[in-house]
Amino acid sequence: MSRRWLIGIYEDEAKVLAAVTGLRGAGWQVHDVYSPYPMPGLEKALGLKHSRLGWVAFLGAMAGVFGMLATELYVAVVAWPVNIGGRPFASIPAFFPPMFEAGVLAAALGTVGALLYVCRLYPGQDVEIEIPDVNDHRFAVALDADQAPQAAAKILAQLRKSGAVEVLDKQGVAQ
Amino acid sequence: MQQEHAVIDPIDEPLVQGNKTLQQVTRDVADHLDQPSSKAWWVGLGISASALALGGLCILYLMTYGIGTIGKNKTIGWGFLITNFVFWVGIGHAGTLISAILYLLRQKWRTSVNRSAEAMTLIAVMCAGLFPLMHMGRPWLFYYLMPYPNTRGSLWMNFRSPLVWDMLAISTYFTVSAVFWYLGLIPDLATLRDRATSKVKKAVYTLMAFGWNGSGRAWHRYELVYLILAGLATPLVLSVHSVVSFDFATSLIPGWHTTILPPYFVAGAIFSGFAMVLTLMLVARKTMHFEEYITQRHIDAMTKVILLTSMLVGLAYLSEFFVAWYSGSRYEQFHFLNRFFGPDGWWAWVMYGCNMVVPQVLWFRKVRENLVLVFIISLLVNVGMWFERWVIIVSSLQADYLPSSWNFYRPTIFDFGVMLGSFGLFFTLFLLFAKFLPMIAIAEIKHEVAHGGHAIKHGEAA
Repeated sequence: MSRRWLIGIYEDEAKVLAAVTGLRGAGWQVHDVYSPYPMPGLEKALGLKHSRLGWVAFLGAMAGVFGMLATELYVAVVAWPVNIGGRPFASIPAFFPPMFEAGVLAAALGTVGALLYVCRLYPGQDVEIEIPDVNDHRFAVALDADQAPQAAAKILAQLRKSGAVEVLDKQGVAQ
Repeated sequence: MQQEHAVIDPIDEPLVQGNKTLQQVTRDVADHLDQPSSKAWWVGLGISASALALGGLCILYLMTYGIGTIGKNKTIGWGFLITNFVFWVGIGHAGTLISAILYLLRQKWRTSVNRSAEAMTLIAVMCAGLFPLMHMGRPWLFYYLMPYPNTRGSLWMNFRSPLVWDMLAISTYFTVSAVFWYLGLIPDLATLRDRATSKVKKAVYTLMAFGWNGSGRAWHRYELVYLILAGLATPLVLSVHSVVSFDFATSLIPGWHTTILPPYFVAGAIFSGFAMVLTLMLVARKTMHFEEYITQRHIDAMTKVILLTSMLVGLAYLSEFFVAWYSGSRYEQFHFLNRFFGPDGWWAWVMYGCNMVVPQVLWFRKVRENLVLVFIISLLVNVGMWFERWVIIVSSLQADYLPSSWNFYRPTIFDFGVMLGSFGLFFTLFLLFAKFLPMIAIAEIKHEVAHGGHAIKHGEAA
C-alpha cells in the first residue's frame, strides 16, 4: 500500500521540537520525526509512552535463569547423576554461574530481538520513507496526508512556517 | 549568599575539537572508507596476514602431530596456550568497560573510543577462543561441551566444572558483545548507506542497516535498549574474568588456590585491555587523522585508568604475598619464593616491573602528554600482563607438592607460532574493521557535538 506523506525538513533541532508541538497542538497526528541522533525531549513532544522493552529484558532474564536451573537439575539429578564422595546431586551453589550467564544471554537477545521486531528492523529492510540527509545532518517531520487529504496544503504551510527549509509531498511505501 | 563564579570547569571542555558541524562529523569518519587504502594499511595488513598464515601452518602441524609438539609435559599441562587464552580474554575486557560501564557512569569521553574498543573486544575474544580449542587436542570434538541431549549415552557435561562455566561465560560474553556492538553500528550503517555511491556498497549497507531511518520512535526505544544492554554487559564483564579465575581458584595448586583471584583477574583484565586500547588508538588517531576526535583528554583519561588499575593489581599482588606468609602454608610460601628466586625467577621480575613499577610514571602530566612514552608504556603493560598469566600458570604448576614431579616448561617454536598467529588474527581483523566500518560512533558523536555544551553551526558545508 502506498501512502502520501507530508514532510518538513529542518536544519535546526530546536525548531523540530517546536514544530512537532505546534502541529500536535493544531490537532494533526505526527507520524514520526527523523534525526541523525536521538533528540532529547522528543518523546515528550511526540507524546510517546514509556517503552515496555524493560519488561522484555526482565522476562528474558527470568527465563534464562530458571530455564538453566531446570536444565542443570535435570542433567545432574535425573539424567546423569554422578556420585562425588556422597555430595548432593542438586549442588545448587555450583549451578549459579551458568544460571547467571544464561540469564544475561536470554535478556540481551530477547530485548534486542524485541526492539528489532517492534521497530520493524530486519536485514535488508527498505527504508519506510526516504528522506535525504536525515542520517547525516538534517531533521524531518512526517505526517500522513490521508488523515485530512483536503488540508494537505494547510499542513505544508504550517511546516514551512515552523522553520522547515524544505517541504515534500511524496508517496512512500507504508508498512 | 549567591555569588557569580566565572570558573571554567575542565569537564566542560568540548569532547570533539574543531567546532564541527554534523556534516563534517559524517565526512571525517566516513570519508576514508571511500578512499583507496593507504600504503601503511596495506603494509600492516601484509604483515598481520602473514603472521596469521604462519600461525595457521603451526596449528595445522599441531593438529596433525598432536599437542606433544608444544612444550607441555606431564607436570605442566597448561602452558603457553592457556596463558594466551587468559591474555586475550583480558584484552577484551576494556572494550566492554568503555562501552558499558563508562556509559552507565556517564563518562562522555568514552564516545570517541567506544566503537573501536568494542571491536577490539570481539576480535580479542575470537583470538582467545582459538586457544582452548587447540588445547583440547581434538578441536573437532568441541561440541561435547554443549549441553544438549545426545547419542553418547546421553553423556551430559558437568555443570559443576569451572571449565564448563568458562565456556558458557566466554560464549555469552562474545554473543552479548557482538549484539551490543552491532546495535550501536546500525544508525551509522544507515548513514553510510545513504551516502554510498557504488552499487555494491549500497546493497551491502542496505542489507546491514536493517532499514534504519533515524525515526524518533525507533530512537526512543533504541536508547532504552542500549541502556539495558549496558546494564547487562556490566555484571557480565565482571563475571567473565571471575569465571576464568575460577579455573585456577577452585584447584588446590599453590599460587592458584586463593580467593583473591576473581577481583585480581578483573582488575588485571581492565589494566591490560586499556593498554591495548591505547596502543591501537594512538596508532589509529595518527594514521587516520582522528586527532580532533581522540584528543589529549581521552588519552589522559585512559592513562589514568591504567594507573588506577595498575595500583589495584599491585594491591592484589601484595595481598597474595601477605596471605602466603600469613597462612603459614609451607607450600604457598615456597611457591612465592620460587616465583622470585627460582630458576625462572626473571619472569616474575618482568611481571612486577611492568605492571607495578612502570605505570607509576603516569603520575606525571608530562609523561601522559608525551605520546611516544605513553605508547611504550602501553606496550610494556601488555608484556607485563602476558607474563602475569604465564607466571600464574607455569610457575605454579612447575613446582607443586611433589618435588619428584617438578619440571620446566620450555616453549617450542610451535608455541610461539600459534601465539604469533593470534596476533596476526587480531591485527588482520582490526585492520579490516578500520577499512570497512566506521571506527568512531558517528551518531553518538553528533549527539555530543550538538549537546556537548558548545554551539553548533547548522547546515552549511565545511
